Amino acid sequence: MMNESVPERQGIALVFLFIVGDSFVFGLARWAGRDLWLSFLVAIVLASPLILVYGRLGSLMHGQPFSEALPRLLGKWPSRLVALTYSAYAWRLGCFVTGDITNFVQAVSLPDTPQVVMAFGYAILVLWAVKEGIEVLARFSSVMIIVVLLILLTALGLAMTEVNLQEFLPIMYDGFWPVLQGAFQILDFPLLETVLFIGLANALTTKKRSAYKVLIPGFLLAAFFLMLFASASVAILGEEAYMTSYFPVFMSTARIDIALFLTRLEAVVGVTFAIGTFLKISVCLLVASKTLAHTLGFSDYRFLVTPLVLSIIPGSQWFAKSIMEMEQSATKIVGFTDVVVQVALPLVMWIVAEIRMSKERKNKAGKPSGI
Amino acid sequence: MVILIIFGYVVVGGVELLLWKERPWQKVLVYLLLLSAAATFSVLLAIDVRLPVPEPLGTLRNWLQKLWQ
Amino acid sequence: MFFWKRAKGEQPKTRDLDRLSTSLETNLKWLRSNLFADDDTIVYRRFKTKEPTRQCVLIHANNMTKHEFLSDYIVRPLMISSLPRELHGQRLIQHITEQVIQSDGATVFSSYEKLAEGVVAGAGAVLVEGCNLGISVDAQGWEKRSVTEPQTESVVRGPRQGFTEDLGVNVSLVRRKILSPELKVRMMDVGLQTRTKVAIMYVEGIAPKELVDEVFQRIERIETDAILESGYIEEFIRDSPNCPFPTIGHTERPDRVAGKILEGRVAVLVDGTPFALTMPFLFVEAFQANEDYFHHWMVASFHRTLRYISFFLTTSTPGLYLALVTHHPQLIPMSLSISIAAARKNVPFPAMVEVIAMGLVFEILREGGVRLPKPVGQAISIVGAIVLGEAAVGASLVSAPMIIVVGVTGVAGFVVSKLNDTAVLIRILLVFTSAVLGLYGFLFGIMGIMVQLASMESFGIPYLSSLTSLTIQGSKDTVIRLPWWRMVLRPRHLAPKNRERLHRQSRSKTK
Repeated sequence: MMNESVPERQGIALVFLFIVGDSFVFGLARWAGRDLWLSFLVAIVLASPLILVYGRLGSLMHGQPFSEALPRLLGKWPSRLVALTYSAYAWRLGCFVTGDITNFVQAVSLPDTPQVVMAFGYAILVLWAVKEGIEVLARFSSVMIIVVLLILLTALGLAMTEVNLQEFLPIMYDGFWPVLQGAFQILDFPLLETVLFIGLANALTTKKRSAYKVLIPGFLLAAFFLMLFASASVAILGEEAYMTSYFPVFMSTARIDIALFLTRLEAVVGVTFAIGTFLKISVCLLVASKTLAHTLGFSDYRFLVTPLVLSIIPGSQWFAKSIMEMEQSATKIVGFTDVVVQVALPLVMWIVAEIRMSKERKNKAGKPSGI
Repeated sequence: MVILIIFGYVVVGGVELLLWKERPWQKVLVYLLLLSAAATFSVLLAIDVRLPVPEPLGTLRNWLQKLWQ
Repeated sequence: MFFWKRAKGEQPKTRDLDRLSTSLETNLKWLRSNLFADDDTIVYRRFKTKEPTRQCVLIHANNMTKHEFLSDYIVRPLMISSLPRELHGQRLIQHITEQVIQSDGATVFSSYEKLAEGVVAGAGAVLVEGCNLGISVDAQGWEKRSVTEPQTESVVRGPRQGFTEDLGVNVSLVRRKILSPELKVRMMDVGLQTRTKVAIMYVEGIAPKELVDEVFQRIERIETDAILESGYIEEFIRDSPNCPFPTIGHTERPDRVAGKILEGRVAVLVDGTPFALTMPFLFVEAFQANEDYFHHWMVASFHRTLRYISFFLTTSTPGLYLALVTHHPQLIPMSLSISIAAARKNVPFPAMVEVIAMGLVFEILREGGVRLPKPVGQAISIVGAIVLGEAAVGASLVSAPMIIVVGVTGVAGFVVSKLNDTAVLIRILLVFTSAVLGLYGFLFGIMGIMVQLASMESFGIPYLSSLTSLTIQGSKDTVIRLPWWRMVLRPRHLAPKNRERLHRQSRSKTK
């Protein structure tokens, strides 16, 4: 197996684009309405310990590939079960994200093109990227992050003229419940989807650097960035429009109109969405094939990529023929499963791993040659 | 349409298998199984069978809801 | 003595037939009838030394040698000297090399093969009656092009020297830029028939040893008949041979080569071509010009940015135009959209056909202009610009905006001349993807190219490495060029061990 390693900043770019990539155009924390910035703060506070747990799990792997580290931490058969769960989760997430982008493109830009064509285009690219591996994805994202930030921050700056800060008042008129609801929604999608990086932790960890150094900055940057965009969208569109629109950030950039020429910037924002989604699908499928390979007991994952990637084409259609259906199936599946995969399982894994590691350390300390 | 999809999968699978440097039978078996699963999946959706969206833990939730009431 | 030992060491390997005979006549006969049979350019100059007289012969290839040198420093000293009678065989030859022949390069040989090798490469070979050894004296001399400004890389400001076709001259041009014993030049012969001389240059202590070894190994592995240009070697040793992006750089300018090897790269100079190779070659290098380093850093940074924009324009304009016109007319500002629609009203072809046809015509004109003699080439560009452009619009075969698109594409392509040929292929790819899926197809194309670039490596170094570092020190010489006193470190990937190029004292002085 190749020794994969991603430089720190490229890793941060990867995590950043993974979280921001496909989520910023959606109305995040819609239930919280004008208080969504509060939801974001709550979500960040709630998510941080979990991200630390992911990071810790990553560090416990000591840069070993998933297939070697996990059995060491959890035992042979539990590790395979965990791997299978994550594989299913990653594949499901990949399908969802593909569904997101195909629906988005059909809704705003190419109404006559069948979604399958879009999904097929993505599948080919993702197939290629996943076969190239995590290092290539990291390099890709570190170039693309510049493009994405440049476009989005320019759009934000231009949209500042439309901002109306009055939209945020009054604060917490409806009480704390909607804020919390919003927070949970953001936690589930997209913040805690970072859990997938446990599967790639071997590339993010080196001898000198633990996985925190990549996960935490990437996560915080992305979370604050999302908060900025969602808040700006509320301030531009107003609470009402934000809550009812499918793609509020997209709509708010559509309001930009400078000297009648700099119009239609939303197309450019759509471009960044497409880039982010591509990256996210690739990461999902990379994790899905790596974990599935481990479940089946192979050390090489590349031969599993093609069937998995091809199956996201029908998969995305299965979950979401339209945006409305999408939300339905999202609520159907997501809820409980995600709590298990994003919160419960990592916690259990972490505790088991810590216990086993401390035992192992004790055993080693008993021997004179122990480190 | 169905024939086209199956044909596509066969072509992809064939070309990929040809490109492999070595073909241990375990890998080939897993690969073919997964590929045929993907193909079946595509065909099912193409002929518009409404597959129910899976609800993992859905039964658990229903049960919990009943217990709650 | 050293020469003698070496010649002796090789003796057991060669067959008896290959070894020189003691009889001069036998040797000459063998040469005339076998090795140099049917070769009329070989000159056999017979002469005799003073008392005690000995028969000598000087063999050389006409026009490959300096004739005055041969007569003044080999023939004349031998003619006027009297070789001691008691000397024979190897001691005689040793006496001649040490005391008679006035030349800085002389090798003793004992086989016909060595003799032939020397003579065809421009040496003069001396055979003496009664000796089964010979002396090969370096006397290379042939017509060389003088050092002129290279046509492909002309500068407004900067040195006007360019490489010539002669390897020796080229090596000396680089050497004169770096007067340090750390500069190493190692020679190799490549090509079974051509035996082309190849020089590998690097600065010891800056270029990583693994890189130098890797270059050596890759060149050694080449097994081919002929190396006629450095492009042959490039294709044999490059990474990602199936990708049109260059992974080995080439230049005609000694100052560029010096700059590259001072950053920790390895240069390969090939005899017979003015184009030197530098490796590893990174994506950013395609956008660097040596003039960037001679101008003010802000001006240089502006030019760099301009090149990146040009590259985007030359690859993307037709694709974007096609995507916008056919799939997303609502994205074009209203007034522009109307004028494009008005221009396209009478055009019978779909935009796709228009784009491909005009792109093709442009490439044909360019190719025609390059290959033809200069005066005719100009005529072609006039025909292209006026006749085809004007007339095609007048006849409503293509729309006027399309001409602008092709024009922008073409002109922008010349700005990034190193990637011009690659840009053509990318352009075609993007036109097709845009035609299928509009803006998103265009984006698919771009992302595919990015994945390809991200996956590429050049001699173990990621192709995009400077662009992906996301640090100030890492990106100091990419899209922008920081002033020299800010570029304290050499690029991290190229010279990982010896990174400091500005010493601390000079750094504090400049502040």
